[in-house]
Amino acid sequence: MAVHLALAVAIYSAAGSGLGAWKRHQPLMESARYAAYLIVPVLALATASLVYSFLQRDFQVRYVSQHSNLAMEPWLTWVAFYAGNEGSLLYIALALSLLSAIAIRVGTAQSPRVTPPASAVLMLVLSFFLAVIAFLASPFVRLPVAPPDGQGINPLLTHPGMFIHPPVMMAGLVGVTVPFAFAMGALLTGRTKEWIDAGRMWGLIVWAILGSGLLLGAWWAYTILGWGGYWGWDPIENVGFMPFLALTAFVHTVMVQKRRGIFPRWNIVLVFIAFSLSLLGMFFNRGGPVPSVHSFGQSTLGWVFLGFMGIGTSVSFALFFTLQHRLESPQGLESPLSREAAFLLNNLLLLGVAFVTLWGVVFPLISQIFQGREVTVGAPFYNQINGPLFLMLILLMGVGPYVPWRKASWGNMKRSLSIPTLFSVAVTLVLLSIGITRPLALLAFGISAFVVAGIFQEWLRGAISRHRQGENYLTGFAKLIASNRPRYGGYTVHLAIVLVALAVAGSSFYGIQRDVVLMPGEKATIQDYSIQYISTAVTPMTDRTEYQAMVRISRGDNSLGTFYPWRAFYPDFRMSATRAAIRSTPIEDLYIIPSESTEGGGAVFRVLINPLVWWMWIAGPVLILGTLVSLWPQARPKIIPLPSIPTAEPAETSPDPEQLQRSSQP
Amino acid sequence: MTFLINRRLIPTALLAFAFILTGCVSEKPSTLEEQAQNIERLLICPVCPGETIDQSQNELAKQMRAIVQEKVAQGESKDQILQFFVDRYGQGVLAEPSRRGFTLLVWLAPPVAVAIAVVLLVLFIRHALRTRPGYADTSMNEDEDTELKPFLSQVDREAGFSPLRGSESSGRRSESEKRSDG
Amino acid sequence: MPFLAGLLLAIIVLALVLLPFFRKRQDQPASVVDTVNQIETRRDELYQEMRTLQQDFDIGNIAREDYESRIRALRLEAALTLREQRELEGEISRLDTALEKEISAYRSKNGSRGP
Repeated sequence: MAVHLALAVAIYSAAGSGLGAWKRHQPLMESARYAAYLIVPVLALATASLVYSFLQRDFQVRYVSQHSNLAMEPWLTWVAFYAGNEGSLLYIALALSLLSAIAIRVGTAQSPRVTPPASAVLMLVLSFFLAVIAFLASPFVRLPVAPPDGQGINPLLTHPGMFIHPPVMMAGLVGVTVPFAFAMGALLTGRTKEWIDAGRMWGLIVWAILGSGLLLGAWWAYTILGWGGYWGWDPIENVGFMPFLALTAFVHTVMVQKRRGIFPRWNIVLVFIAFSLSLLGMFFNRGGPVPSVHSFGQSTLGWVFLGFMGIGTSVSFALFFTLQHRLESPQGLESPLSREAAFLLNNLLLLGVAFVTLWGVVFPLISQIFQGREVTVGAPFYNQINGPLFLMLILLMGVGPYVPWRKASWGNMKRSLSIPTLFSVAVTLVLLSIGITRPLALLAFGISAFVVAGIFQEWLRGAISRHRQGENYLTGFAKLIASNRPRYGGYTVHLAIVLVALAVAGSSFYGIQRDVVLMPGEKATIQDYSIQYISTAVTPMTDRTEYQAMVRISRGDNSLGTFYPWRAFYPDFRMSATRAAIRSTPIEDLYIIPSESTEGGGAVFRVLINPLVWWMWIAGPVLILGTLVSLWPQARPKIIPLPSIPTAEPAETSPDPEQLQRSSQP
Repeated sequence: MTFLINRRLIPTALLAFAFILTGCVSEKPSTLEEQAQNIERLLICPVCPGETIDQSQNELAKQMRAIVQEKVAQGESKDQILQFFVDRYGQGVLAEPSRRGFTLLVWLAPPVAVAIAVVLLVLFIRHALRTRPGYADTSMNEDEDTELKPFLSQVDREAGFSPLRGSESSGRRSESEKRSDG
Repeated sequence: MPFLAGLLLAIIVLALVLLPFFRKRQDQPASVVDTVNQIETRRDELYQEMRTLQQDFDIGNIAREDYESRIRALRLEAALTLREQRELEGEISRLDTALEKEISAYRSKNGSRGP
């Protein structure tokens, strides 16, 4: 019922913003804004009532009985809430309404002409979701009779990672609507300046949300799925990855538009692509045609989303083609060797990866249609094709910041890049000497070293330059960052990406895996680790049986501690959930997953050594930090005295201009 | 336009080619165990949603792993073992589509698409280069425009900037000048 | 019971949504002031760019001629924005003065009758 109300309000708000913007009718626009804000508490109430039903164990509500049971601990309610189609849709609607409200509030002040049509678009999309919930997938449907117990929550969801990964991921996916809405607003009003500010801000925010969601998903997969990996190129993972890639491209070229005003049309196209991809993601998530560990299950609801995606894509691109002449590029390119062109190359590579990923996801369907044969496109395909593209991207990440705007000169660039190149070569030689010989690994590490050296060189030079102006290194560095936040935030984000690359390279090329069967007291050796199996405690519970193994790990003479790999078998779901015992250091992870018990008291374990994975989790906070720095509003520059430049030559005879200026300041 | 071809494209193309070549390089695994694992990563568990038999904890996956390990120990080649499973479960059991026949399309499409994209990029850049309007940075000699003088001084004050004169030099800047001449 | 709660909610929402229609019309911000703000923002951005450019040159990322030509261009553009702003501000004060004159003329005709 609350959902129906929200739907009505959303439709009103959409219409109101649209009409109000068209007719420049202030009260109508204001009223529409209030409507948009009000949706948030209404949906919050709906959410609260669903949560309440869970807590009350009201199994007459069909959704509650499908996703919980008497044995479920109350704190899992949060996860159960979005475990199924209907609940997750409600969550998505709530997230979208919240993001929209914030976007509209901020946008009305910051970008007054673009925001009303943008809010109309936001409300329209929200209306779609609310309509689906209200008429097709309501979590509030009641069963005729209350069953005595529910079916319980999917065991894979009981991990803490599941508390944040799905909500963040879903918020990110639906959040792409915000930059999309502003892009539509820009297209409809022609106000590119306002669009850039709002587009960049929301593009970055949603990008960071999606990125965090992806990293959290990797972390969850790593710790609970029990195969020692963190990314499987699973179709659902892929469809979450693709909008992220498109947004990455966008946050780069939007900087070009901000600085030079060029590529206005391409930026809009990028955002439209990101939005279409995010809708595709939702289609796949809800009963899409491809099976996956992630999907909510097969259902006809998926086709509704496909339809919506079709409409959204066609309408947005139709509008684009009719209205794009309004967006003009005042300038062109000056040189093919310029940062602008480098960003275009960046776009090409990113969209290339997105295309490959999409192609891999869709190809099984194509094969089915044209050949009638089932084909699986799995991780090896993606790794082989996307791998080189990623390497090129990371290389570009190292070179790009040293390509000046407008026109670059090879001489200058060669000079700036000499040290990073030398460092990279040095690192590669060192690695060779310690036994790292696989060419792809060397390439990956070498390029990563190159990028890192480039970033630190820039920071160092900047700090030194400020030091010369009388600041100590620490404050100088802080002020350097503060002086150009988008740039230094960007460097930080690049650093995070390199960390991820290192983790991927280390674990992909030098990971070791072994399955062992151990009797109590027996030891297994992997590399220089020794793992001794002690015992397993078996705890039967109402809906599952838990097996907690105890193992002792040592290396040489050093004991590294006692670890408890854990497994639980859920007979109703015919599925096991696992918690790996992970001993994690920056160098490598020792990873132990209990597999099963054999007759005779033995236990089967899978043991892995995953080098460098630790860095991937560090990358998360670094990424968020970098984004925050980038987004931090630049305060209005105060009058800063001209830095005094030390003269190595004899002093000039003309009066020092800086001294004149300093004396004239208030 | 030759500038475009020389400077940007050839190094990039060479790099790209090198990367793609290295991407196709496969390493010979050292131990039997590693060999088996590599093959296990190439087979999909038929009853699990999209997991390889290496990943899946399913009963059937475990049996398949055992078979793979047995065959590797007997010295069968990767292709033989893969074919064995394809005969039983169909093409869908392969994690990586075969490079022959219809599925060759999977492998061809990405490089072709990237090549097309590169061509489009080059065309776009050429177009953008051509449509560049001359912009007025050197066409106006600001010192002669007396009307603007008071505004220029205010800008200099507010930005904390000293206008450049022809002979103005500073220690550090002349150093970099010397470097750029060398 | 839940129906009543729902109805109450709907009424509250309706009331809040219709509120703006019954408020007094707020003054529209003069579009000229808007433009002035935009110009100032643009100039701030130009100053920021000048600063970054100087920093880059100090660090050694840019060659001397590039630096000089770029900074001249930015400086010129900033000065042009200043000139444009002055003109607009002049226009605002002209409007203000004209308005003042009209108000005093009206008052002298009809006598001061409160605010």
